[in-house]
Amino acid sequence: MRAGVAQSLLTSRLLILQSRRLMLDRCQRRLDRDEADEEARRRVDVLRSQTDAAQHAYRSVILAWGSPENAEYWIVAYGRLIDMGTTLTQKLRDAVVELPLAERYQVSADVESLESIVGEWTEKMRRSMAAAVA
Amino acid sequence: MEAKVLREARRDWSDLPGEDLTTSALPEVAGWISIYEEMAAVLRSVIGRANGSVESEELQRNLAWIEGRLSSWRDRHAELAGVTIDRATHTLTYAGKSLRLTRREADLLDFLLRHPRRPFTSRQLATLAWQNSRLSDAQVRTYIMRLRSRLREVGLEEVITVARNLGYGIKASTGGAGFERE
Repeated sequence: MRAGVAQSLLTSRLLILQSRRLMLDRCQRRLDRDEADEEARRRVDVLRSQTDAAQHAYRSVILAWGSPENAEYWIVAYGRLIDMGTTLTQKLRDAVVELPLAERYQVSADVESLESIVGEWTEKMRRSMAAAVA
Repeated sequence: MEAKVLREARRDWSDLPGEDLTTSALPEVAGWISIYEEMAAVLRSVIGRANGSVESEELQRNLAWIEGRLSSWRDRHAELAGVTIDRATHTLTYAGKSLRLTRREADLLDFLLRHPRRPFTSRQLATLAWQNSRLSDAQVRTYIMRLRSRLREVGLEEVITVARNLGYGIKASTGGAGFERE
């Protein structure tokens, strides 16, 4: 029962994502043909944001319902962790010069450790991708 | 040795006139806490789903490190904020003024302090801050209103924020106002 529900959810989210990607692609081609087409530009912006939202929703469903036995689950899980780790590392690095010395020391240590962890996750994601293709 | 060098360097920095180094990092730290919390939540979910696998054991180590950093940044956030809550007497001290809170008020403030920039629903506050899921939304709302009013007595205006449909939170920076626990 649960597996059936999970599969339906995954399929529906994937279909939404694919349809958004197709629409975006078509609209983008229209804009490439005529860069002055303001209506197409607006539509591309809207579709890009909808595609991002659909992608996020799809990933969330995979994380919540996907099977860890499936390589795609790990690709999404590591992808999400890498995104957050990279964002945090960047924020820490950007802030470091403005900070008091006590924070600066701690932040540098955090950046170093985070980079190492993100590196591990990236390697594992690569392995999952290879497994998914094999 | 390292600690001594840091202390001395910090004192030198603090000597710069007109600079308030204690509050400058507050919003930044709150932002980092939010991301660390999100990473920890994803890791917990993944570990929960892949329990027992080799992957989950490695991720458990990552989670332990992230939780350690989270705890350390939460403490630092509280320290930077400059308000103290004495948990034994439930007394809040801010800008030289003291205020006696009830245990529930102190627990609520302490919880919000340790989770800056994050809204919590009444239900979540009842369960997470007080471990009492039987409190109704109306009761939580009353506690919040009373606490906000008490905080005004020591000059902490609008520290507890209300986000429609999201819940209650604490401002990451309110002119240096935040809360520290002892």
